[in-house]
Amino acid sequence: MNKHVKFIIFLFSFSILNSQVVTDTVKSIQGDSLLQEENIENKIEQFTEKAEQEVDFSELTQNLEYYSRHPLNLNTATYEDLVKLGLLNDIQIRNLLTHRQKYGKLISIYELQAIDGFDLQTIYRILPYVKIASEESKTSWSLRNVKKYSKSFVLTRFTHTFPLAEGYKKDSGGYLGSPYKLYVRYNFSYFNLLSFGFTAEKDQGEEFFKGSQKQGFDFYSYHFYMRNVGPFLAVALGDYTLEFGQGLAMWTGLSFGKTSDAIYIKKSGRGILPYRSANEFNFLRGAAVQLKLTKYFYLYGFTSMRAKDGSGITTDSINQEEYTISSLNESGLHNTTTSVERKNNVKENLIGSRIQLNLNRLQVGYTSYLLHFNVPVVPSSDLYQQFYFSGKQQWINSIDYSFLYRNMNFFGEVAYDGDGLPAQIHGLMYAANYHYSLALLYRDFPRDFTSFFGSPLSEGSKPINERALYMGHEIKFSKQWWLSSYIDLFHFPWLRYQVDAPSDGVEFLSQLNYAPNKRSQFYFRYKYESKKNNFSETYAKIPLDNRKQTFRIHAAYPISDAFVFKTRVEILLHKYATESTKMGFLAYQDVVFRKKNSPLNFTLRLATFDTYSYDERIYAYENDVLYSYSIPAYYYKGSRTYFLVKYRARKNLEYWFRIAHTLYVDRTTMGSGLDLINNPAKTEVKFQIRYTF
Amino acid sequence: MKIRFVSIIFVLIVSLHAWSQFINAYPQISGQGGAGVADLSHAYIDVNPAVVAWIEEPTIHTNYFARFLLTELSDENITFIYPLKDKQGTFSGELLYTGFSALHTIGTKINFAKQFGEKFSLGLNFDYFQLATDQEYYGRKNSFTFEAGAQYKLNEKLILGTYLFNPIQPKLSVIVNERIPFVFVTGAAYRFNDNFVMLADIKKIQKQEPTGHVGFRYSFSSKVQLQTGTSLNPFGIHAGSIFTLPKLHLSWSIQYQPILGFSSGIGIMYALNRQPKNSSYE
Repeated sequence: MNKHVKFIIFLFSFSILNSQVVTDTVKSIQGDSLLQEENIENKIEQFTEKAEQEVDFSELTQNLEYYSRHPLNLNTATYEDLVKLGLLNDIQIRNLLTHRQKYGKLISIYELQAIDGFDLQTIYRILPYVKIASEESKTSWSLRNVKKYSKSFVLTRFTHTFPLAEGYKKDSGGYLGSPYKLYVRYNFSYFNLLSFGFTAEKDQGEEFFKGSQKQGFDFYSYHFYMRNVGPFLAVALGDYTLEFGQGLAMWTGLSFGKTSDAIYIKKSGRGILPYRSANEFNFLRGAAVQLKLTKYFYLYGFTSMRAKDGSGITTDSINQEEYTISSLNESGLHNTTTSVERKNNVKENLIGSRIQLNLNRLQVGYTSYLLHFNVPVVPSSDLYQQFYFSGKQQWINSIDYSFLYRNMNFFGEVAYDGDGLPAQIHGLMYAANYHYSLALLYRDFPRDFTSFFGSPLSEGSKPINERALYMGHEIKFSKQWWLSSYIDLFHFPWLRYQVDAPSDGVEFLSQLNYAPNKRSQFYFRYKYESKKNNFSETYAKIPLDNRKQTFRIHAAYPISDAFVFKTRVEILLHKYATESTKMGFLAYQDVVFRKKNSPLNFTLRLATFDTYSYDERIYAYENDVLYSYSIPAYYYKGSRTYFLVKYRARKNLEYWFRIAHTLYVDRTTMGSGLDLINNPAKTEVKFQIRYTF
Repeated sequence: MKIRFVSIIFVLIVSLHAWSQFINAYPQISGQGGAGVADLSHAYIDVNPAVVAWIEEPTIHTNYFARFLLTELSDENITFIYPLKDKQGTFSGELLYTGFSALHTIGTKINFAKQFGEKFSLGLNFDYFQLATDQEYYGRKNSFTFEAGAQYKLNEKLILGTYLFNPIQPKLSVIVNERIPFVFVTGAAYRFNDNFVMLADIKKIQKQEPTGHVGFRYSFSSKVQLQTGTSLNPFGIHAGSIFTLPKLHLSWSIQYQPILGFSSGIGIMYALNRQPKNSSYE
């Protein structure tokens, strides 16, 4: 009976595809996905706008790079495997598993269209990373297989900017070390079952094998990671990250917030992951294991001991002097005397566990951990920090859940830090039908809640002092046209940095998308954001409205099999308090050459920008060498050009070269302080080699 | 008196149309609101160097455009277009003159444009400018630069275009650190039916605010087309017409800007073999 039903579905799935779609889909199995690329770029851009710091996004691309080399077999993939892929939501995953259970293995990739929730855009998005095969995976533990299928690579990168900033001049009292940046990485992997390696990085201005860095690089990271070994589903030693629940209590991996994918707001924690990035702050160092207790219960245990940088002060008490830390520094830069003094001056110890119940439509997890610092953390006397965490020890407990009912996915997390009220986040994703999906999210983070490892969807950088309601929609007009929009209404019950009163705000985004085929995407985006900021021209520093409106037109389309053009025009209007409206403008043209089986590919960008001041800056993603990311803020008046070329000399030897040039036409210097350059132009050069064996 | 007049004109040009001495205005484009970067029906390498790739016959055109009806702010140019056989590419050469004796620019542009497949064209202009003013900080200055443009037919109705002028930004004067501006234009043309085309461009000239241009062109018959459009920031209203005769295109336009007044231009395009043919709309 099942076979007959399956055959009908198969025929039906063919009939609903027009010939163009079939052709595109077949091509896409072999080719890249511009849509997916655009999606990642969008996410990273929006992340950077909020974070305003340099972040290594390689976690994101490494995962997809793995699946593009080893596509996930949709006929054998488990729930956990599909979550780890990171491209499907829970409703889609459950619908796929139910379909497989009912009708047996998928016959063809086209059959995906017959599954609820799998629209053409979703299929385009996952196609480069999945396959349909009937055989079981060959990835098992045996020494012969490990020797045969394992891969190693060594990667090294050199970055230099010139002319040199004032901080590098002799006797300037500025940067201690040389102006170049150096990055080295080694990685061994056997599918996704075994990975070990190290990363070493020297940032600009840091010393190298001398002075404060006699050991060479400023930052070293090591990891050892195994999956499916005996009773252990995962074992991590060295540096690792944890992703649990909705990220309220524990999420040290990359965490994206509000994006133009307005309904994808639920986090799907992937548990224990190896840490292979060069971010120097947000990871754990020690050991972690995941154990399968029964068919439905999983147990996690983790411990971490590492040093971090803190801004410390010594205070006099009646009996003795006490050293305390007012804040932890996340930059990872140790290139001045002050930053070197702060290096590793706080010892952080963490021990915790998690138990997780995985039923077909219900997941519940309980996480508990104890965090200890060797010196007390005492926030500054600024009023806005009045309720910040104070002390040496913190015990966090949290419960998270995810429940599927028909096409509705309820999810949430409640976390308690032992002080005041618990923090909570609850959401719903609802795929009403093919044309309409909805997402709702309520979050409430009390002003005295502190989660050092938390990273849920939030307006602020940390889950503290925020109460908000988010609503997102996706309306599909046809296979090619769809509209995504969200509105986020937030309230800050207590003071914030540079906001001397409780305040509120709103963020609204609407994006009309047109994707005539899998390699083209056009969209128009409107974004409105209003928050309060102290208006400093008055003595009383009254928080007044700070509004930004952004209009963006973006086109990415192939002009041949090998060339893709990307064009963007973006206008930002900024109105602050009683000041007049100021404008920011960015336009760029990209030419991308990427031909299958060609050893050479390149990207060229020509951009012009014009903003009234730094406050009207506009961020734009730039292609960079593998595992390096550039999302500069374009501000003032000028132009920027970059050229990136990748050359595969041999199957196992790849070279990258990138040159980026910025020219200001309205000023004669760049930067300020130690980064001041007495020239209106600067050029950054990057060179990278990867050898695989 | 003459010096004062020259100075006024100079300030006008530098502050309002600093780019216009390098990129001429054309009546056929002005008539449709100044929008035309994605338009395939003209042959102006200053509007998009890629456009001549679609031209199939050797063609010559000349244009005169009087900005604000002032001879001193007028553009004059002549262009020769020579397509190679079998769509191997198109060579063009343009001579342009802007200004008057005390302040003028003479430009020479050599263009090569090529179709890649049926949907895409790419063009490059290599430019040589000779600038001359009585201003002591500028004096005489010769500059080399280049321009690039592309046009892409996304489907039967929608065409996209991008044009970049002078990405290398050579200096005009060392003393005042002024450079020839970078200009970025992108736009689209949408053909509602065989008779009606809508065009929209966004243009950014460095150090100036971005401008928008929207235009419409309606064909009454195979011989007469009417145009109208508007430009934003600064606001202007545009109108024009194109007459197609055997071997000949005649175009005429007028535009009105509330503060600076009227501008007008006339252009003639002549096909050396037969009627200028544009493959894109046929």
